[in-house]
Amino acid sequence: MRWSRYLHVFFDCDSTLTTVEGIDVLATNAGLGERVKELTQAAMDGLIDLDEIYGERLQAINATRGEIRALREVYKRHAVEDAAAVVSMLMKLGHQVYIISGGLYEPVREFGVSLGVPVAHIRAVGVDYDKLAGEWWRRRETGIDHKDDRYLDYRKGSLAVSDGKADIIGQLLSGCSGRSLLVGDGTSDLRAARAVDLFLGYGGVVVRAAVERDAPVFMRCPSLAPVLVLAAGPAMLCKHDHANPELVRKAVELVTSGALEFRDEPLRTKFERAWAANHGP
Amino acid sequence: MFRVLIADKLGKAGLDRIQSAQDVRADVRTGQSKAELLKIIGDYDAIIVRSATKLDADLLAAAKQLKVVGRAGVGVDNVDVRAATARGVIVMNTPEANAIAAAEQAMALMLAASRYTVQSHSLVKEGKWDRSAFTGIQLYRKKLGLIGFGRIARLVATRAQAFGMEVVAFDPYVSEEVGQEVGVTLVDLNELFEQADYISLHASQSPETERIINADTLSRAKDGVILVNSARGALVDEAALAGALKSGKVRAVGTDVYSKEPPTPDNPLIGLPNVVHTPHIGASTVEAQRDVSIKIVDQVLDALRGDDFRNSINVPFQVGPDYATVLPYMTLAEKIGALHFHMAPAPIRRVEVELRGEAIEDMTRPVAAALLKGLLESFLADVVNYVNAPVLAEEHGIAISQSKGLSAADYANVISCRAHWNDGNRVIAGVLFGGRQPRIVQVSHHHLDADPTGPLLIMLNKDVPGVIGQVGTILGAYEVNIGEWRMGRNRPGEEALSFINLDSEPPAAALDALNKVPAITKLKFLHL
Repeated sequence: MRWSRYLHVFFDCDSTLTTVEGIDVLATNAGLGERVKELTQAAMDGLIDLDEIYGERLQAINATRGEIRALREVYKRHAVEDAAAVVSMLMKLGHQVYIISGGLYEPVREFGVSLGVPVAHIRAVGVDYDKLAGEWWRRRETGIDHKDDRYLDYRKGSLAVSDGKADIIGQLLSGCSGRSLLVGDGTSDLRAARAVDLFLGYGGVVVRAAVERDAPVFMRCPSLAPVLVLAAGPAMLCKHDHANPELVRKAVELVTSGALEFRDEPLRTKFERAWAANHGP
Repeated sequence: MFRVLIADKLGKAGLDRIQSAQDVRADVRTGQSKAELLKIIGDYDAIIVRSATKLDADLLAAAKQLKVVGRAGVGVDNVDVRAATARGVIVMNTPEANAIAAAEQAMALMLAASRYTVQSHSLVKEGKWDRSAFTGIQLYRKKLGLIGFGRIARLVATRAQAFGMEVVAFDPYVSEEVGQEVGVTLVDLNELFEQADYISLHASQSPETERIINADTLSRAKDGVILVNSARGALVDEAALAGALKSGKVRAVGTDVYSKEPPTPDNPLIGLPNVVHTPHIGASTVEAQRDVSIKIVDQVLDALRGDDFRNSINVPFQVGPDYATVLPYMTLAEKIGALHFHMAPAPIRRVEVELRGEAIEDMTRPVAAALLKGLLESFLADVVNYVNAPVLAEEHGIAISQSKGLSAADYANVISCRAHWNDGNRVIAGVLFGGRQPRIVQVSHHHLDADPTGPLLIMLNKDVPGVIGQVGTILGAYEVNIGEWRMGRNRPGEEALSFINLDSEPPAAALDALNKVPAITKLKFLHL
């Protein structure tokens, strides 16, 4: 049985490629951790709409551009196990890799680029800053941005609403051929499942009940390595000339030990046959 | 004729340039005492210094004509920038001209620290010959960590790569793509200390970077690390570094800069055997000095002539090749600021600014500075310019912030400003027609299309028949011609707002007569 590969692989960012939620980090730094975390949690669990709380959280945090920018380091430091290696290998195998995030654009972009994702494939929520905050006239301006500028407003759009990722994925896939896979932890990812051929619910950082229940495939191991198997297919992994044999070995071991939990029976059957054909006894 | 004082030694190329300028009289008076400078500084429009002349608040106070301070070099520690800013004096430097010289100095120090160049030189000079005492290490296949990844650091990176080094950098304000373009991985500070065989400092001095090399960070560094500092002495805790050198944690140091310059004899680094010292000569090459002298002269003359303010460190916005595009918007903003002042019923306490439109969204700071200038110069006797307007606004209790959604005016590029006083506020919005001509398109809820230029009557009246005729008759009686009359009203019969451009200033008696017209509820004459 042949497992057709998913040429386009979309990743959520927060709690999928990185173990942190960026806005919660900003909130904690601003001393507002618990309140904002509750709101984020409720939105991720689908209890309230993201658009209701998006601006409210950011207004309350009132972060500077520098603080928002510094999230990049936090993201990088807390990258999910094998994230960079998986992105790199997917790209070497000819896949198109994307990041679709409801997080803030600048740190998500920087983190994404550090993982090797092309800038044109990264979508997140843009922010406008008050360039007249504080003693703006004393600052040496380099370019148009300055770290002491304060948050003013976010750019309204699909990614700051609970049901918006499908639109963005649709735009990115427009005119492209090839099947698509979305990997994410949140209900906003689950809701975007209709825009892709397969949704992989990721519970390696946080397990969200709705995602665990409704995702056709679910994965709860801390490493993203098994994504390779789903995206590229078991047959690809049998080749022995991989740039990163260790990663492949790890992916195979994790899948063998049941890392991928299929909720969709036909899909499970298909995968198991393909797996057996390549990795069977 | 502009008068320029050259107070420190300047390269010949720059001197030739300024002396051949037709509209400038340049006097070279180097080595003057403060007392001597106090006597003469009042005559000059600009002063060019290097690091010897200290331009403190006293000198700046005496410099009544001064418009520009040009520092031939990078650091402006010898200029009281705060005092200059409050007086509206532009301070500029030449940050780019030294970059290659500085990068080469960093490489020179890196090599000298690796190969005992200085120590072995001294021995040979003394007639000794000991080849075994000087086994150095190679740069090849070592990892260089750059702290700060600006222009100079990038030049160091490409040079180090040519030596076969792998380069990583820490700079939280630089994009990952910039690093990738030059093959440098951006890392956090901890990673840099853990990984680097060589560390070279290229950060500017700020509270975040002062003593970034300290006992704690050094303890995390690799054993035998080599440190090079050609940036700022304040980046290093010299006592901690001396300790790490003595313990062997740090193998060698090359330094061009010191916490205090010249270093005092008790500087803990002086006298240590594995330190290569140079006396802050990173910028001292023939080429850099020539470039610096030409650049500072060009910049100062451009600024005096009002053509450009590049590399100004206290003009509150970046200026450069696109200044010509920004300038008409600044003129519009000044007019909006002046209108706000003249139309406000009470002192303005706060202004909100919104720039909507792709062409202008990056102009927030120049527009804000211009807006404040227009507002302040309507009532301040002092000289107000783009440099001191924000400072003066703060001193007069006027806050400014950026905002969104201030105006519904449906134009491609619109500047909106809401001014607040104690118990009220007003929005004024403007655009440029044809890219140059300022137009006011909104005042409060009135939408209009008015030219805020020259003698101007602003009038609020009840929208009843005959008002225009009465105003025309009164002005005509005083021989004041109406150039243009622009009116905005929302619905017939409601209050109407008029901007009436006049060809000349109306006498007081004409204004009195107009004020007596029953339908006119408010009248203000101003000259924009």
